[in-house]
Amino acid sequence: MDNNLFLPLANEEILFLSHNDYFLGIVKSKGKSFLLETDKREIVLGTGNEDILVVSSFANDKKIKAIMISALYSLREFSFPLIILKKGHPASKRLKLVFGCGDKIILDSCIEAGTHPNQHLLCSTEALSGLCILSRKGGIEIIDPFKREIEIERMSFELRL
Amino acid sequence: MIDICSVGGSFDVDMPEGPEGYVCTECGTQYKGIGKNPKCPKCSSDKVIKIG
Repeated sequence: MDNNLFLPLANEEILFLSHNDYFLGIVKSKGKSFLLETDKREIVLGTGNEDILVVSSFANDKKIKAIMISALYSLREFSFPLIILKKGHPASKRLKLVFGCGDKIILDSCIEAGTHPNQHLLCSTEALSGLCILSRKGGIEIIDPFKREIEIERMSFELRL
Repeated sequence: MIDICSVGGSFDVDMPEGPEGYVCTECGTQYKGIGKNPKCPKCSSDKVIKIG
């Protein structure tokens, strides 16, 4: 793969990037606002029309794509609140999905789990660590400094029974 | 850009800037927001005013 690659992404599509059984799901945020709930307050996160909402999973499950669609759909289309746990809360070890939202996201394998030395970092496995995802008009641009063979799959962003 | 991470022993929100106060001109709801044009959490209106 070239270092830089533009990928079209419509509002009703989802892109899956994968490498070595690690999956990433990406949709446009459509300018929606998201609810972040801490134990002390609610914070509304506003986004731009071309911003992206990204989910990264540490679960190695054959249904992970369906799980990602469901999670992203719940956030973007149904305004499900994101519960933010306090540091050290026991439930944090059970959660399998992490999310990032904005116009730029860089994956990091979180050498020290759960920490964020940089504002743009989103936790991933080593498989795609270092990958940079930029929001672009009508799509995204991915920049891979390691030129890995990343599999790209585009699907309709919809829930099916 | 905001990161919400749940990996390992902690789960936290990193914010480049603290949230600012907003009031919705449609329903009067006051709330804290970050990012680009955070909409009213009650009525989803984007007719809001930043109140600092």
